[in-house]
Amino acid sequence: MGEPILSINNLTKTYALGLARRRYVKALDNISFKINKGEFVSLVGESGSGKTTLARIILRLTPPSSGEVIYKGKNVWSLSDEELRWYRKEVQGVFQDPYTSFNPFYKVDRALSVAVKKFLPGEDEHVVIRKVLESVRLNPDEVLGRYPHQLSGGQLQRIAIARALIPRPELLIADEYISMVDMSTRVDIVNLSRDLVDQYKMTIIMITHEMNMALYATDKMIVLFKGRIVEYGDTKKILKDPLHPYTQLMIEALPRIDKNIERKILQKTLDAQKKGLTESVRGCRFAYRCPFATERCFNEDPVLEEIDKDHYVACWLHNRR
Amino acid sequence: MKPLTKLIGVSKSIRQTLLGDLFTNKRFVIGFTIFLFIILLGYVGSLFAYPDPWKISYYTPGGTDRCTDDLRYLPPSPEHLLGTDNNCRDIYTWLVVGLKNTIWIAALAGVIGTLIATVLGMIAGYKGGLLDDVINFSANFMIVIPMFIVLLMIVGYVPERLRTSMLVAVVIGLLSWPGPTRVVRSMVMQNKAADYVDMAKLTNFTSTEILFKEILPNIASYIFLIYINSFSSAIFTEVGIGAIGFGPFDAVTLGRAFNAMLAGGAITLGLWWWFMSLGLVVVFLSYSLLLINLGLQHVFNPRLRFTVYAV
Amino acid sequence: MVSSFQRYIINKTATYIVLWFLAAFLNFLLPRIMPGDPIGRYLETLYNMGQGTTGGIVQVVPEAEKLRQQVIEQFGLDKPPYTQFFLWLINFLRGDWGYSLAFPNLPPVIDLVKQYLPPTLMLLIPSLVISWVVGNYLGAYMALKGGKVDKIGLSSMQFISLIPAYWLIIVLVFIFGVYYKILPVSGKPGYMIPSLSFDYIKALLYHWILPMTTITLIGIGGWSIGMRAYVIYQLNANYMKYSKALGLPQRVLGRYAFRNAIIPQFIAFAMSFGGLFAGNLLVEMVYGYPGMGSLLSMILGRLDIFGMQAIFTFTATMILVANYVADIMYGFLDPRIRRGITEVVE
Ligand SMILES: Nc1ncnc2c1ncn2[C@@H]1O[C@H](COP(=O)(O)OP(=O)(O)OP(=O)(O)O)[C@@H](O)[C@H]1O
Ligand SMILES: [Mg+2]
Repeated sequence: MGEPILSINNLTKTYALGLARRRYVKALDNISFKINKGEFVSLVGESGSGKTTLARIILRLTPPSSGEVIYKGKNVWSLSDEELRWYRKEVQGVFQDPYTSFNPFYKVDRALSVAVKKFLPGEDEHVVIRKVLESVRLNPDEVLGRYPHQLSGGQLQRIAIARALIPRPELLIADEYISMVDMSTRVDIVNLSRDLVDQYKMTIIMITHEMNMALYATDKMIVLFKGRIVEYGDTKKILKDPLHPYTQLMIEALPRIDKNIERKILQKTLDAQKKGLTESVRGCRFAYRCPFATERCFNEDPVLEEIDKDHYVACWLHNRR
Repeated sequence: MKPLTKLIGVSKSIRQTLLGDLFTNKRFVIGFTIFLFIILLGYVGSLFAYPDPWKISYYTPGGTDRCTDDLRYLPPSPEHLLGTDNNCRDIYTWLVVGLKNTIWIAALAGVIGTLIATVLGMIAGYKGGLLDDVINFSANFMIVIPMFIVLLMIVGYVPERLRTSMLVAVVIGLLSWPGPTRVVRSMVMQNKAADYVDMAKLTNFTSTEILFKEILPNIASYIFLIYINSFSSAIFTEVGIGAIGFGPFDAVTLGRAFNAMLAGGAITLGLWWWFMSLGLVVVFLSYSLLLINLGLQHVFNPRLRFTVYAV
Repeated sequence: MVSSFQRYIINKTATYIVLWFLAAFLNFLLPRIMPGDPIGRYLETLYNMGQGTTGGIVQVVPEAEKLRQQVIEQFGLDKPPYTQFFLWLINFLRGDWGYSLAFPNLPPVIDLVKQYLPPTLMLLIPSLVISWVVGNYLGAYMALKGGKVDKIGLSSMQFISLIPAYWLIIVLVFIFGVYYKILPVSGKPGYMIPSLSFDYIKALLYHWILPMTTITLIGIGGWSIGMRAYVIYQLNANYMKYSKALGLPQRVLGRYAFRNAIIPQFIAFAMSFGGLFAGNLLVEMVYGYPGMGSLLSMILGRLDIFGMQAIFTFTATMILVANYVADIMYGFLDPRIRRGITEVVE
């Protein structure tokens, strides 16, 4: 496989809330993983698990508290100005809400033409814009010359993708870019992403909380829970044999999985909530909701371990150390 | 939010709907009508006023510079629409001249205050860090101390001959940035967190470009609202310090006219037309500005309707 | 280990001490950087005063230069600026605020404040309490009633809150003093010497009614607008919709909204003191009520620099204390609103 295109090493992000009575939120807790060129990776997890935070740190929009992001051997958070311009060309992003991704003050054309000016100086703006819009399956005449509020969410999201594609990036980070569009558009956009990976050897990290989309299209999967990676590896392997109870819960829709687990987890969660315990301070973050939790789960942090080739899990049930 | 700047012709359809919204907004229409009426009173009204508010020689056919008892405290008449004061001067002339001057002072003070607030608020909101701390701290400091007291302090220390309209306008302006700065700062901070700013960052925009090309157009309408607010409170301030004799010394302003009214004993003599005319002009001027402001807020952003912010 | 709440209090305390120093410094600096000659003005005042009264001071005029030196020495004006500042500050803290030039007998400024402050507080405190209570009640009533009541109520409250206090008192004086002749046309309680005697207090109360009514009325306008906004905000909050869906009666919902909306109004109560004090100065000046406003107007009118310095610093102190209290309350009541979220980088 060679050198990974992106390595995340011991990444942690802590937010502080409140002024007089301070509370801390660990949005990301010591996360490490690697991504190879040409992989379509899905990053899944419930709301608040730290997906967006991770995306923003990789995109160099939010600084990490500690740890590093290495892209093509370079530490992303200590790039020079020159290198940053290069990095922006190589790594692009699309966000969740297409309606807020465009400046309401300008026509959508501007987002595209500015990108051409900045990234491809000298190239013919009109030609590039038309081509890139067609590549995301939009009719340029339908969308150009309009304001964001005059377009549909699906159209806007495609334009956002088109904008991200203009510099011809190697790595695309898509933060829930399908969650606010309708079902058929979703499938379309995911297929489009698949094509980008297959045809142009692009690397894509797709953040989503929709397990079926992730399972359907991606090569690799990272499952986050409360800022930690609980399972990570080849998508097919995870689909075939989800190891972590949380992953099992997330793909519960699949018939093969014991429906009882889901019921048990929900019961446990409710019990824990009644006792006012929602999150364990030590040990596995999932322990209070886990029907199989043992004494050890409440006391010791599980370590991410390779159980099978390309299949890692952080769970004492599977960890034989 | 619909940015105000669209009014100025970015898109015809939006401009039309925005203007349409404005002129179907009852509060705006009423406020604007009153405001227009008062402005007209100052400008068209001065056609019916005497050229020099200080001269007393207008009303006697032959003209005289002596103020005699039969020319003092005259009731309203066609020659003196609001009668004369204790110095035999025409009250109506003082009202319209004062109105015009006060509007100018307030307009200038508003420009100065709003300009400072915009610059500081944008720096603080966008740059963050130490600069933000310093600006925010100063703004909070200035808000704590009522600006009126600081103003009294300054005009109290300044010798009379230096207390010009210009100076008063500048001082009011210089003192009125803190509240608006905080508003601009929070607007910038809100916009800074918006996805479209992140998009601009991903497109290699520089901070300056983001601030001026992305954020500023979106907050322009708020800045306009702030200006109306500053303008309105500057009127209050000028009249306030003028009334107690610390307003501009080089011109007749509404504040000065108030002061003359108090000194002339309008109340005890029961010359209601004198103090009612002055007061009502001030009240309706600020009320009209409030209505305009509420109307604009309503049209720009319905969510803002219940926001109360201290300026 | 200091808890973060203690840190907040320490932080605020330090901030307000710095603020107080800044305010004091501003007061120290302003008369010194203003054009003109403060000592000359001081001597001039003494001279003018002397002419009217005894010949004592007039005789010294030929020796003006000597007198000047005397004054410079007396106020430490020959020392370096920072020494001057601290000298002045220490004197201020000790209650030695200098002598007022605004009165022929050159009384100590602190005595003047002791005499003129109580009538002002007698005006401000009841007015603040009454307008706060009535305003909040009206505001909540408008918000909960909605419809026509709300519309008309809000418009009239907005209008009332925009009336300049110094004009409203004129109108009230005209109506009750000049026209009906039931209340005094001026705030000065006759030619009585301010004291704590029963007669004086009775006279003062009689002159207190109009300014009290004025600032209370305008205050009610402001408070009710604020309260109405907060209650409406609460009524639109998600938990309200939820409780409504649960079928809680309207009365209970209203009480919830009121209870949550009143919290920021407590903080605003303490914070409003400064603005009220400032606004009231004008009312007092116009009406001649024997409070801080009248004192200030005499002092300003006679360019009494020592009086101005002392009174402005004192006023700033009072206002800062009120705001300090408000800030601490803020920390107690809802720490999250103020600065929201801050990031820590480990
Ligand atoms: N700017 C911020 N300040 C403080 N806390 C934050 C901030 N951004 C995120 N958090 C907190 O960090 C945690 C992770 O948030 P994040 O947005 O990364 O989650 P997410 O997985 O993207 O969730 P969602 O699926 O809802 O988008 C949450 O608990 C959130 O409250
Ligand atoms: Mg997210």
